[in-house]
Amino acid sequence: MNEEVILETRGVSMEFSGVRVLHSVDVKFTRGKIYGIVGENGAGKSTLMKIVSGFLQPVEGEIFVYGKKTTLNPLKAKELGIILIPQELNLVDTLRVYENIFLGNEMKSRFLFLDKKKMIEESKRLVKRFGLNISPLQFVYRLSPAQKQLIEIVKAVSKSARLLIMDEPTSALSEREVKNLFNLIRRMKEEGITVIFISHRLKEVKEIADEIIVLRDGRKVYEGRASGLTEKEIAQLMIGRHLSEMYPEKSIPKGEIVLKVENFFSADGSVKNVSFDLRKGEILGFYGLVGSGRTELMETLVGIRRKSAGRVTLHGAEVNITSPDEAKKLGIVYLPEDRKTAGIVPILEVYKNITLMNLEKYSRFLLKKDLEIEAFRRYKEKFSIVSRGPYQLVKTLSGGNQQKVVISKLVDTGARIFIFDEPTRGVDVNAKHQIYHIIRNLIDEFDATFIVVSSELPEIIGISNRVVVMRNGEVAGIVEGEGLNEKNLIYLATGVSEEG
Amino acid sequence: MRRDSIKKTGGRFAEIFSKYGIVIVLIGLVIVSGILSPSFLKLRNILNIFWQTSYVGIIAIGVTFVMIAGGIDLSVGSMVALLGAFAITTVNAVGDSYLGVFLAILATLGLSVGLGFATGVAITKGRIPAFVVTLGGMAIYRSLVLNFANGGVYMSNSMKYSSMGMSFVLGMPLPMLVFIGYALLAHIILNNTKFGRYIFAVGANETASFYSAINVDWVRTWTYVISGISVAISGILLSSMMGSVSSSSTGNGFELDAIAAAVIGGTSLSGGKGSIFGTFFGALILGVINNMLVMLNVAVYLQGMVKGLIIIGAVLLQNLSKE
Repeated sequence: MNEEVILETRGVSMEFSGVRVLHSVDVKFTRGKIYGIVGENGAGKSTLMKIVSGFLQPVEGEIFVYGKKTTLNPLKAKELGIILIPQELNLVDTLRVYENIFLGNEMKSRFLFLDKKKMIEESKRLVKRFGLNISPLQFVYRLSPAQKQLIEIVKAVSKSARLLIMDEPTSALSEREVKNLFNLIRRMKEEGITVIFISHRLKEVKEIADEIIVLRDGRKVYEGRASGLTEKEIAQLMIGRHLSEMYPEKSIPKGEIVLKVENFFSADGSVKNVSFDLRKGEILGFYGLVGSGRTELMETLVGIRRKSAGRVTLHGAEVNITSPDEAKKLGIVYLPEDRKTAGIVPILEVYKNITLMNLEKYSRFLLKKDLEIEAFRRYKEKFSIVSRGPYQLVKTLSGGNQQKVVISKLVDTGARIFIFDEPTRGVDVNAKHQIYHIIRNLIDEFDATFIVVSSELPEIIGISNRVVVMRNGEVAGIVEGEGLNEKNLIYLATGVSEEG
Repeated sequence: MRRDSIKKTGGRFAEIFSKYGIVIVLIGLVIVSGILSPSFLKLRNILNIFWQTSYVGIIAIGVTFVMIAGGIDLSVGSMVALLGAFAITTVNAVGDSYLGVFLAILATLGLSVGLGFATGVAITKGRIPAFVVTLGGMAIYRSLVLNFANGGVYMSNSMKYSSMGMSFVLGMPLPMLVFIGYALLAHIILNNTKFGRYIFAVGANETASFYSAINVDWVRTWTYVISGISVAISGILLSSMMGSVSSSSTGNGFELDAIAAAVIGGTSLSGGKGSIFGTFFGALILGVINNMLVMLNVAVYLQGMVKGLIIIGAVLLQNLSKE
């Protein structure tokens, strides 16, 4: 079979301020294939992709496009059909779908006027081609995160992509939406487009990719057919040592009910008539599609959003929580879904982030900095945070370490009920593993109780004692024991069984 | 190895420069001024510069709090006239006594707290952008001052009040000492108290601060109260030094100078970054440049242009140093 090579790197190396992040990497991408690139955070995936799409220049090595040695820049890469869809979406919320699709690529009629009619027509055609049901005239802020992701892809393809690079496209998507995305990727493959797919979800990579490339510490450690490896083998290649069981042994909850929620409604209508109870020492999972009201429920519980009705009983006494501060004082703390905007204060130092929620403890009129630094050292050791020191800015830590800083901040308040919303989003396999153990250790150490919201089925099944499934703002069902399996969860979350 | 160590010292130098660069710039300016005009370096002139800088400098300290928390205060120039006029009117009403002066100062501080609080509440609870609220405040305060004096001047009848602003302590002008003392106090509040830490956190990431159980609205409101108090201190010192307040010209352009001082000192317009140390020296740099322009006989009308260029240049430098 004659395989047409779209792009090839030979001996590509990269350095940032004297630190080598890529070591002589050779990769080859051929026409009409799907490549999965996996590796821990900091393994060099994003750097390699930025080099391939012209956003970074390698310090050594060569790049060949269609067999010709090429020096890339973003504009040239675009012309050659190499399109990178970054992890953070680049859509303009206040513009319409078609305006976004043709942003920077507008069609013009005579006299420099925009040819809106033609753009709308073309957008309609593109959107339809991908089997989407979105009007080109819709404003982007009205779309769900999943729809935005799909429009981003439509936008890329509209520029006649030959090589499409997707950095973590599924991190905001539910299982169902991932399936749609995969159908789309397969359709593009049939049209001869090469797709590079970067993800932390190994199961997805294995499912969609023809070829898998594993990076570790800036080196290519594996390249081969996706079917040749199991998920576990991939994970082991990524971290370079034997991966002991991913999930710690489940805790045995004590019978006592610490938190009881009855007929709970949020003022904005996103949460309707929710009831559940939380038993001491358990991990109660919350599963559901994006928009099912899980995050909204948690945010209303801790007073970030307003509730309109319902009864919340904490250790047998009714409470009315209207601010995160009241929740904190009652010993309930929330780890937000979006780490970058709601979890960390990026331009502040690590130690300041850790003590932020509990400054009373470190202040007697004036702040006691030595106590703060001591707290930093304590949590650095307790949760193995990789940091150069207390004064490092949080934004320069890896995703997993940022998350551990946020967890430290919450634990430092002395809370005993923890609500973790997507605690492992955007962190590597190793950090995930550590976070599961941190949760388990907190249960053993403090008799802590956890609510964990997650979109990842293996995760929620792997760690929860019971799982509440939400659909359209309501509780669709609560499963435990034998019933706690993928099929049940998907059925409850979507309302349709796989066969139907 | 070699390259590493060079890079390290380079990094060290950059760190020292970013922290104390502003002091080096000030020293450089003083040396250049001294060469251009030898009378510049006379102790009398140096004290004068410090003195004249104090009024804007004290306001700039308040503005720094507001800006680090992510806000802006454009009303300070008109407010200094309003509060100065209020202080003079109060002393005149109460009578020329130490008690009268004391009561006037107290009442002026009280009014400034009220105005700052109202501004803060309008911004946080009313969800009106700080730019709009303080731009409105700027127009309202000036118009009130003009109205009650019919466009004229508020004259102090109190000798005791007027002598305060001209007094010297330990051979140094009172406003200068207040400026230094206030800067030290502000530095401690900003860097060594819970409230100061919250100001940085709120300015750097309001959402994360809110999720971290910080009362974001309260923190932001209080920065406007501090700005108001700073304006009151400045307004009292200024009006007592002059013995009068001109309803049309007192405080004109103070907002530009105060924001310029903060920005030159490294305070970020987008919040989360800044220091009293920087603002203090930023204000002095502005003062030295003003003095130099006068000594070099640069037309008074062009001084605004020079300041405008400096403020734009300072932000440009901040952007370049980020890369």
